[in-house]
Amino acid sequence: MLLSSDDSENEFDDPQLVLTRYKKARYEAALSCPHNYLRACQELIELFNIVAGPAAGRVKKPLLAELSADTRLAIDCCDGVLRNATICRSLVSEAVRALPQAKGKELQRLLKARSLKAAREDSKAIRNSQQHDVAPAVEQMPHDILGAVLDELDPFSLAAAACASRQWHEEASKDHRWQPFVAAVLSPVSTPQQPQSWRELFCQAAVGGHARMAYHRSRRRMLRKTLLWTDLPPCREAPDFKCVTPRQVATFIVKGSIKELSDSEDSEGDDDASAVSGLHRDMAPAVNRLWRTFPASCKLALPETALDTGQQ
Amino acid sequence: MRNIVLRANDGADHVISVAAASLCKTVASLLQDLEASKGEDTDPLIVPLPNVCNCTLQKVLGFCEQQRAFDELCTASPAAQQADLTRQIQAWQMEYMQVSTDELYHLVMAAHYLNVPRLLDLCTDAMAERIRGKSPAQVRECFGLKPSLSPEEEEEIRRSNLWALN
Repeated sequence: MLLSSDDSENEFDDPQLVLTRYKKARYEAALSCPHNYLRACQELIELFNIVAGPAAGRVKKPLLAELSADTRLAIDCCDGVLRNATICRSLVSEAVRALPQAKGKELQRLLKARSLKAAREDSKAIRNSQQHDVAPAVEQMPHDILGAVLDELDPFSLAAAACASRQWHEEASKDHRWQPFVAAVLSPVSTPQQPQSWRELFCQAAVGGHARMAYHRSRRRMLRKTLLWTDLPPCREAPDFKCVTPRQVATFIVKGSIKELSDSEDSEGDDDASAVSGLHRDMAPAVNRLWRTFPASCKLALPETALDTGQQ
Repeated sequence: MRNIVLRANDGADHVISVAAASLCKTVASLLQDLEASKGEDTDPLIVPLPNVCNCTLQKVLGFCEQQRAFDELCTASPAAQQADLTRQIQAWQMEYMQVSTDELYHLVMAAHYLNVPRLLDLCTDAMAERIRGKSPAQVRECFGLKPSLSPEEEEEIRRSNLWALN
């Protein structure tokens, strides 16, 4: 669709160069981590879109081979997350339109087998959890274990746990547990040496809305929605990159020039400059910073909403 | 090397090596005492564990064996690979902790009884993770706690902790 306007003046680039740029985008790496999956699929869809167009010429054949290989990978990598499953389905339907019939059929078969398997695993997991997750007899948990568990908690969760049962209340109200929290919130100057009760002191600070408490509070909210984003490397979902749509990336890969960016219908005015610079940076040698990378422990905690970048 | 047989409460036997058993402080101290009093012995030592069920014992032993293997890897590999290895261990532990609350409870009891400090740490961490950010009602539901407080008491506690319950 994008091509219709400018394919008369823009010949497609040399196939070799196109393939190099495609390799640089490292889709195989992006597809294998769930948090990059969506964006990678969107860009692949746009690529299919362009290649399926009327004027694809000699780029078409080598690029389609790569694309179908990556689509197969996408089907393999698709995890249980609904968002990813949906985009995977639309990627396959896009692929079916672009690829020769036999190959398209094969991909569809693969997708079907894969989703059947996923559904089976799902229902098995649900059955298992229903079987096992009958109220455990935590009632008689020994004091020292409960104490060790409560020691791991932040003050807000600790206070909530204290309301759960008598034993938990007794254990959670033990005063030594609250001393470090007071130390974290109040400055040493304003802290009395030997207060009546550390817990009381902390409660007062909390009710009084102490300044450092506000920080703890919002941090807790963030933690509940999980993950702090600030200290992560720049990536495709970073704000300065959001203005580059998947289509622009796809156009860049196929045509090799950024000129189309200003022609493309959905970027205009101020966005252009940042879009182009973002793309430049993105296609620069530091390609391994293209996609968001996480330490393994963060993966499970990824919130759904934070990943919906909402481009286009 | 001497083998140790751990017998679960339903009579199922599990054979483990001394190396893996050394992670269970209860078994290790028992072994030491025996060796001190009777000297070296090649017969397998049978340890009956009346309050650990078979599946939990299996899980605990899986942990011991795996930790043992990781420890050996740690000492064998150069310093450059340590970070990578730590990541691997964390990933494995996360996988290992994917159990229901009931299983987790039995696991923590077994770890307490057998005195496996590292497993105990891991379990308490996982339990705290399940409490974090939940309301009192959710905590009660998750851990199957019966409401042992009278309504007045509960109201009292709620009021004193109101700052945390918004």
